[in-house]
Amino acid sequence: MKQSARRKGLKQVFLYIVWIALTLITLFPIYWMFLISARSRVELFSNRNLYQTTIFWENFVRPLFQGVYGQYVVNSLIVATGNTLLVVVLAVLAAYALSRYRVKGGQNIFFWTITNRMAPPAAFMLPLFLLYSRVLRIGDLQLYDTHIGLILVYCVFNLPFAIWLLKGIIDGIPTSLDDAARVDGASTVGIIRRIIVPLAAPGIAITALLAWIFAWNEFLFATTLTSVKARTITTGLVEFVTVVGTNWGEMAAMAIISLLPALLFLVLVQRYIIAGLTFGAVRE
Amino acid sequence: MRQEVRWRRNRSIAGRSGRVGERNWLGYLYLIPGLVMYVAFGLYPLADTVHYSFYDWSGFGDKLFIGLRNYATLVHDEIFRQAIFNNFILIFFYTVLPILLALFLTVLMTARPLPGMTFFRTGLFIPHVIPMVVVGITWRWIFSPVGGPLNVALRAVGLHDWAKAWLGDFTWALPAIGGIGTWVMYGLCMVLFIAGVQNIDETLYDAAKIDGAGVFRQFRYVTLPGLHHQLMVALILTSITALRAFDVVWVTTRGGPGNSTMVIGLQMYRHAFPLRNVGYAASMGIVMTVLILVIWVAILAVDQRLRREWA
Repeated sequence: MKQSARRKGLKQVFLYIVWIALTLITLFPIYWMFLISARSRVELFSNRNLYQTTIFWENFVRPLFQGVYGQYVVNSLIVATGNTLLVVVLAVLAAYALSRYRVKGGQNIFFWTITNRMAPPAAFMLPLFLLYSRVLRIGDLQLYDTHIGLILVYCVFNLPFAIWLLKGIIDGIPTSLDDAARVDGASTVGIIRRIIVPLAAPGIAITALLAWIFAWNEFLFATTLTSVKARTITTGLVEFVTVVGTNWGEMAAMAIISLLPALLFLVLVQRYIIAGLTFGAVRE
Repeated sequence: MRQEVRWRRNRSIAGRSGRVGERNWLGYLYLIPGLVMYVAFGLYPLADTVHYSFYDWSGFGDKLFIGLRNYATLVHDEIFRQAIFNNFILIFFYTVLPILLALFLTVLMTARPLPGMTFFRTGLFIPHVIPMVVVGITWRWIFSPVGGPLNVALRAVGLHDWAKAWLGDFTWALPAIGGIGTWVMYGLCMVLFIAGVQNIDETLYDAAKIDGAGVFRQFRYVTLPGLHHQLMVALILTSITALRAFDVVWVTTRGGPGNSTMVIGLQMYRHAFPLRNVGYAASMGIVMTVLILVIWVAILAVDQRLRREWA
C-alpha cells in the first residue's frame, strides 16, 4: 500500500517534469527574444547568459519615441479598436436579426463563417489594392493608406465569425424579455440596446477581444494596403528586417511590444479566448 | 373590456417580434449593413480576382483578354509547381505532426490529471496567439547560424555536424519553416482535444476496461471516436493555414534559398506587386482558393465516412 502510494508520487513528479520541460522548450523562443530586447548592442555579444537582470530600455524608447514605431503602434491601436467597434455594432444587429427573425439562409451562417475563414487573403488582396488606390478615389482622397481602409477589410474578415458567435448567445436570451419590453413600448433598437446588449455583454466582450487581436496581428493586408501614414506595427516590424536589419535589440523590443496585447488577453481571459479561437468547437 | 383590449394589443405586439416569421423584411433591415460590407469588400473583390485571371494585365493601361491562357501557363510554371509541392509539405508539418503530438499529450494529460494543468495548457497555447510576423522574427534568431541557440545547443551536445544555417540551407529551410508551423499549431490542437476528451462519457472507458481493453485499445475505440468533431476542426484549421502560409515565409526566407521555400501565397504576391503580372497573379489566387475548397471537401468526405464507421 505504502509502496504503491510512493510509486504514484514518483510518477506524478516524473509527469510534472515532462510538462515543465515541454512548456519551457515551447516558450523558449519567446524568452530568447526577450533576452535580445533587454540587451544593448555591446551586451548582445558579451553576455551569453540565459538570464537577465537589467533591461536596456533604450531599445524600447528609441524606436517608439524617436523613430516611427510610436506612430505605428498608435496606428495599430486605431485600426484594431475601430475595427472592433464596427464589427461589434454590425454583428450585434445581424445576430439579432438572425436570431429573432426568419431570414433566408440564416441557418447557413456557420458555413459562411468557415468559408470566409478559409478563403486565402491573397485572393482578395489585388482587387482591394486596386479598389483602394484607384476606384474609390476622389481627387487625393482614397482608402489606400488610411485607417478606415484597413478597418473595413478587417471588418469583413471578422464579421461572419462574430455574427456566428453572437447569434448563439442571443439565441439563449428568452424572447419573452423582448415581448415584455415591447409591451412597455420599447422599439426594436431600444430592445437591442437595453436588453440584448446588457445580457449578451460577456459574449460581446469576447467577440470584441478576438476581433481586436485579429486586426492587431494581421500582416498581409496591412502591408499591401498601407505605405506610410497607416502602417501598423506588424508591417513596421518587417521593415526592420529589410531596412535597419542590424539593430537586433530594437527589433526584438518592438516584437515584444507587438506580442504583448494578445499575450495579456490570453492570460486574463484564457478560457474564453481559447473557446473563440478554436472556433467554439471546444464547447460543442 | 379594457383587459381584452390590452390582451389583443399584446398579441399583435408579440407578432411583431417576428418569431412566427411575420414581417421578415425587418430582419433583413438589420442584416443590410453587414451584408453591404460583405459584398463590397468580400464578394466583389473575389469576383474581381476571377475576372482579372482571364486577362494579361500589368495593373496599368489596357487589359488584354487571353481566356484561360494564364491557367495554361500555370500548369507549366516550374516555380509554381514547386510552390504547390512545398505547401503540401507544409501540411505535414502544420497538420499531421501537431495532431499526432497533441493526441499523445492529450492522452498523457487526461490519463493522469495533475493540479495546475491549466497553466501548462495556457503556456503551450501562447505560440498560437502571437502575430505570425513576430513568430517568424523569433525563429530567425533561434535558427541563426551566428550564435543561434539551436546551433549552440547542438554543438554543446557534441552534434557539431548538425549545426548549420537552417534557413539558408536548400534541404533544411523548408523543414525549418515547417517546424515553426508545428510549434504554432500543436498547442491549439491539444487544447481542442483536451476539451473534447472532457466531453466523452466516462462510462465508455469503464465499459472498455471491463471488456479488457488496454490503454491502446481504449484510445483507439473510445478516445479517437469521441474526438471526431475536434479532429475535423483541427484538420481544417491547420491544413488551411498551411496552404495560406505567407507571413512566416516572408519574414524568414522570402522563398529562398533559390525557390526551396516558395509557397503559393508568396509567388502570387511577387507576381502581383514587384513583377506586375496582375492577371497571372489573380489566376494563382483562384487556383489557391480552389485547392483549399478541394481539401475542405475531402476532409468533409472523410468526416462523413468516419462518422458512419465510428457511430
